Amino acid sequence: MRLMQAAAGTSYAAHTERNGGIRPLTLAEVEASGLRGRGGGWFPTARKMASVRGCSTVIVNGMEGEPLSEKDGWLLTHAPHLVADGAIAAAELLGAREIVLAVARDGLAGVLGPRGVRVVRGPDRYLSGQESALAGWVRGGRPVPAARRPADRGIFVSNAETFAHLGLIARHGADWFRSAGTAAAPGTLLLTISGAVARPGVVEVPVGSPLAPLIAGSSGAVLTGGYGGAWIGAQGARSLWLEPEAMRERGAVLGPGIVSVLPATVSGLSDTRRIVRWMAAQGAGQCGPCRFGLPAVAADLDALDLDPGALPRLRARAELLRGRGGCAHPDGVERLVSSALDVFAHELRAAA
Amino acid sequence: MRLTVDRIACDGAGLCLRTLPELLAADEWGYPIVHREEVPDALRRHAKNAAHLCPRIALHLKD
Repeated sequence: MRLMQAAAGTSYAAHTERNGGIRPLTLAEVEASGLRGRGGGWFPTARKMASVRGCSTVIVNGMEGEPLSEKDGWLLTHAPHLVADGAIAAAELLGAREIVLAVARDGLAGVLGPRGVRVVRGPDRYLSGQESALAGWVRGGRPVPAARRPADRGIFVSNAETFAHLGLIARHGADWFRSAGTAAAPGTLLLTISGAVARPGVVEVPVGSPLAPLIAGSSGAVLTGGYGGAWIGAQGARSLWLEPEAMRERGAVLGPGIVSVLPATVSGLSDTRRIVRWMAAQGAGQCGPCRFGLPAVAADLDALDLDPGALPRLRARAELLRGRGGCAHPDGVERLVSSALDVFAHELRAAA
Repeated sequence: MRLTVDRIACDGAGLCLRTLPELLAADEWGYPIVHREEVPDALRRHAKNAAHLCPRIALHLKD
């Protein structure tokens, strides 16, 4: 597939030998390509570019704070120059003076520094990769979500994979890009597969591909979209198509391309409990839902086996996380918890 | 007129809840639950008052 085929390692000479050079990108071409952000939101990239006022800085988000995602690490290890190509083309298009690559690990400054990309090591926390948090941090602030959008402070932030696709569009054009994927979500995507599967790891597939062949031989419920995603029952998961809207219709989440199969020996509710406890601890604690709601929801989940009042309380509290946070972190936890209560309802009955 | 809450700025002081109970309610920790974002004309003065009273300037009104 495309990104994997273009991956030529850390040598710039090997990269240009395999892929050739890039042409300048125009906003019209990005728009025609239909590229949508691969960090989880699937927001149209051209629209995001157009919303940046007086762009000074392009930030490549390679933080990958989501524990179940490995694709940005894969890309930055195997195709760092393709990511840089996309960032350089985007910076030229937007008139930005500065390109920053934010990663959670060291090691790329020597590779991309010579190409004019400033590599910074961001704080290794889940929310550091939230784009307003990252933008604030690059500008010298604390790495916590902010009410002000990065676009309103002259910053274009996007996921590393989005830039890698831009690097290919700058070579092959919009029509080529649209020749894979669906009309609403063109191109390929990187998917991180983990859990009780025969072949875990990062794969690249066209958007709209069926999930079943990728997790063939497995039989458990599937966590889609990551820690802020949603559980899907074993049977339903195996008829999913990897497309953001198609998945949302079925209560699943494509997000940053995450699929994790629950092992038969693990209780789904216990797994959810562990994730929610971790997510509560990862919150920035700036808003009410994050400071009080997440710990309360985590405590209710812990009490499900002991306290008959815990379940209705949990449902009510989870409901109040939705749309009331300073960022989407509480919404993600609500989605995860609600899907768990649905998919693992049989475990609830067993406990009662 | 539409009402929004800056959730990061809000610290649950609760003055808006007293001023605009028609549109806002408290969750169990005192943070506002917005029942309705659209402010009816009859409540415009009260909404403006609530926005002025907020010690964190977290209640925003847009026409």
